[in-house]
Amino acid sequence: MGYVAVRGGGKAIEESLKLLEYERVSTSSPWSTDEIEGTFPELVDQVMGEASLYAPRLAALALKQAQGSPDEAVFLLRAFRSALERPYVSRPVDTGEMRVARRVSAAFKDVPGGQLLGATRDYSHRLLAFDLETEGPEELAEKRAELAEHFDEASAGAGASATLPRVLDYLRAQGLVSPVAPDDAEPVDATMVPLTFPAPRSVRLQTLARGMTQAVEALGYAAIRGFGPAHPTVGELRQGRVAVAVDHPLEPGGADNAYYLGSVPVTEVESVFMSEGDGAEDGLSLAIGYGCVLGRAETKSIAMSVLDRCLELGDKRYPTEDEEFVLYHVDGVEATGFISHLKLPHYVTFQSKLSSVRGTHDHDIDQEAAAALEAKEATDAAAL
Amino acid sequence: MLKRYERTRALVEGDSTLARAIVRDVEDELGVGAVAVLDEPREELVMVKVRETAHGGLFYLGEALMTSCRVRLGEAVGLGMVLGSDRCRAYELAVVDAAFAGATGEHRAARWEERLGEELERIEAREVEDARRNAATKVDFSTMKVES
Repeated sequence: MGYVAVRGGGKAIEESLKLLEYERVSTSSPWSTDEIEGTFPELVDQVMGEASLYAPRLAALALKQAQGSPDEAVFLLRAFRSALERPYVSRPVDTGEMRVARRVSAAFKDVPGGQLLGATRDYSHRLLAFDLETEGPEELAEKRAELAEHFDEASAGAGASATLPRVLDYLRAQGLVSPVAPDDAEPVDATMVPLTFPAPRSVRLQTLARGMTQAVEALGYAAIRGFGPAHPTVGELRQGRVAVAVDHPLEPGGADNAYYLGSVPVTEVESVFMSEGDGAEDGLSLAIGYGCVLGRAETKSIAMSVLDRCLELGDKRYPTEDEEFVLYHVDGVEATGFISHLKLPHYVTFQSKLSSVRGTHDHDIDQEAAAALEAKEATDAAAL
Repeated sequence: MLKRYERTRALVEGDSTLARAIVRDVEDELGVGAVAVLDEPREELVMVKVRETAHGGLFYLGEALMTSCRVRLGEAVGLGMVLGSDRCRAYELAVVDAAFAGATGEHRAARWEERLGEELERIEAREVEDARRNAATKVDFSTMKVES
């Protein structure tokens, strides 16, 4: 069945957009994008991660325009990036060189470099801080100065390195995790080719990294609860900034001759799973699930590492190990786009449904009438 | 002599007036009209490629907004690239890239070597300061005694 174009909504749509803008200007404060970026850095990170575009100012602008809807902001950023050329691909980022702001391991207590909590809410009381309701610029500056002074004292004389060794290198050195040889095969870009199955590993990782945060987390959670492999252990979670560098388009030369463009924040997770070897004599070993997302997004990154492992196992009895199920459904623009289209006019398709239902009813009525007539005839015959 | 990576890191992460100062120096030496803009500063994207550590493969993490500019200075062509939308910085980086290129640029590179080195030291100091603040959050484990 085809679609039928209808007219008549143009004026209503124009007025609806004006009403939306009227509501925005009537209720919002004239916040600058800097204020949004500064006040909601993790929301800005979430939008950038799902849009798969590092552009904090534009993500803040998208959030302002979308009146705080992350789905809509992601849509706006994805639309924006589709209008730009992409002539460059960075040199491979080595996350071992990350300027680490936070690094923890649930596997080992005494990891080289130590457990660095960084700035985290993990151990905070989840109580509303009512004092923030009336916090003004002076109070903010006062608190900032006080904490700066505190950290000057607390960190005085502390030896510190911005880079830290990988926790799982310890397991690799012991032979409990297979050493990894670099594979320089060019990745497939999920934004340039349609998803096909089985999907290359690079497509899986890219699709999960740009997946809708809550969708990735929900599927990762389901996998741990019994719809996938057993409970993982977070071998390492590191969060910080990595450098983005691009080679000269014409000149040869290694890393030294590349252009440094800046840095982007990322969260990376290596989760450890028990794994059975291929042969009977192989025994148990450890396997790694990998998660890495733009910005500060720890839960998503852990969930991604779980799903990475699930998809490596690929036992389709579990939905979380079925890559078609996982990869097709984690993309925010695809999911919200498809579900939202359901509220748009479907008058013709619905008429078709109605017609089918009515047809069934008419058929039922005909059958009832025929049965009544038959019964009447039988009664009349008996009376004769 | 500083290689391009360290030089551009100093100019991107460091004091934003440094690149401008080098551009002014070049203009004083060669005249304002010496720089021909081949590609005006424009917003583009760079795809960030990451090496994952579970299998050692490569994948695309996502894109980043960047601004690039291309200029010619005498025989040399310079490219300026920076994350974000700073058109001025992209232009300045392109001029510096051209001004320091090849044998003709060696004397300029030598003249600014020390200043760029100082900027790298300042960046390093800032990073160490951040790391030191983080070090205050390092967990100091102690094992609880078992009561007999």
